[in-house]
Amino acid sequence: MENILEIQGLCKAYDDFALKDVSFSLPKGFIMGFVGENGSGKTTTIRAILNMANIDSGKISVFGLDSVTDTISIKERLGVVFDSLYLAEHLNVRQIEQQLKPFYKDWNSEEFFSRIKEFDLPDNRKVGDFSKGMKMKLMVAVALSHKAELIILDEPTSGLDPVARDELLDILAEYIEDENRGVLFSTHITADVERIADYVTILHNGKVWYTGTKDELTESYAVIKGAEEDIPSGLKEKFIGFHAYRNGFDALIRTDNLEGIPDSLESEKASIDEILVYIAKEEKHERHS
Amino acid sequence: MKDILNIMRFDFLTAKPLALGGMIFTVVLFGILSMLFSPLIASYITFASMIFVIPLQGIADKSGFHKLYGILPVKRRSITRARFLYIFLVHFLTELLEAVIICIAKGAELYRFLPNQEGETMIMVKESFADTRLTLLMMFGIFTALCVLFSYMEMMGQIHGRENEFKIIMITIGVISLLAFLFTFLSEHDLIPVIKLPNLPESVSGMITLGAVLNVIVFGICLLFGEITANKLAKREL
Repeated sequence: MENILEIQGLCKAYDDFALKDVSFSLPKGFIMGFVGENGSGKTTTIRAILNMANIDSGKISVFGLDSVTDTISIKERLGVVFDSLYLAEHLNVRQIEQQLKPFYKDWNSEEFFSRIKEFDLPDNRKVGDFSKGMKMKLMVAVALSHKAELIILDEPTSGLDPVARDELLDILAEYIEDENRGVLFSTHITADVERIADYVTILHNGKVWYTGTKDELTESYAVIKGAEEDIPSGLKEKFIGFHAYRNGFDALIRTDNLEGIPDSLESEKASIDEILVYIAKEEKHERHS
Repeated sequence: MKDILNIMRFDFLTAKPLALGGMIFTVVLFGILSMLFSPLIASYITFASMIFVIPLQGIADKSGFHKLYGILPVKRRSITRARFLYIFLVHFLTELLEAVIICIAKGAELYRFLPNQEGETMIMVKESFADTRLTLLMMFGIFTALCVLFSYMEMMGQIHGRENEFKIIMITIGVISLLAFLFTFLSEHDLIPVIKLPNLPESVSGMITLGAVLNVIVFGICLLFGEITANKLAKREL
């Protein structure tokens, strides 16, 4: 499979935070959910892909091109949706279109206005007065109007109501029907990832905790529950995010470590949300009496 | 170059809805006044060019343009350079507009239709219409001063941050004033030789040549400030 995005050994250090050896790749024709708690490094990684942040080491390839030296060619073919609007808020959709079209060789005004109509966006109202959902749709319309082959979305659904979230996810699902495209979708709302992502990369404290298919992730981890005294010796070390209560415990465990556990311990498939929560608990070693 | 032109167009379209009305009002008002009372008044139209420049940074901050600049297929240096050329172009076009208004004002001589043609005020008006050199000097002088000032403010704002811009401008004005005072004081007390500026051209054509030279110098200053700013910002993250 040809990768539309490839990151190898990305390192970037700030005073209080660092991305450490981040590596993952997104094959063409798929959606990747890029998840992690706030401050895990998702936005920094996206900024590095866009060459908005200077990287310390590593290599980022988009469409097989280098993200630093070929940044202009990449951006011609890239659509980006941020968590907030990046367009002049006092202008209307028509004026925004006038502003942006000279920058893209493949800009298609007809496509833009048909998307605007499809998304029910008024073309004579200031875009600053749009709701958050409408702003997201406008950014998607911009991305689609210059035939972006890869769309990167940074927390697009945070702050959106369920209907607007659903609409946005539908748009992405429709977009990816063309198998030469790709979507990298950063979010901490894992329900969105469960719904549309094919691949998942989990970032935790600036490091990649998991990268691979969504199905493999959910099949590889389970939540285990029961009484603490029923835990066989040597198993506890394999727990992730062990969480003890007065009447028992719960923890995340790799499914290949479930063999031979006593019947008194219950296990069930872990959701992405649970996986994220247990990863976060891992460092806290929570114990509640 | 195409990128720079696109960014200049982008800046113009950003400022246009907010500035065009004010610009038209200023041009019409000062145009009529200059045609009736003195072509000198047309020079003040240059001040209106600031309404095409000043709102830009506020809009950029409010609308998160740093993100847009990060995703547009344009080199960062082009974005920086374009802003300085935009400042020059706005001032230059305003200057050209003033020149046209001055020509019309001088050709039409509408003051002839004003009452009290023999009054003292009317004598001053007539003198003003006759003195083309002074009119041109005002036009070129205000253009030069404002264009350099705005370019300088843009450079300082982009390098040191908008929040520090006012402080920096105040310090700069303070330092220049202090130096000017020191220079005047020292030359008046014969402590340093007085530097005499070369005489201004006597003819209108000489004044136009001087104006053209000033325009070229101001263009060079804008390019220089743009280059300094682009170099300073090149390594910074968006």
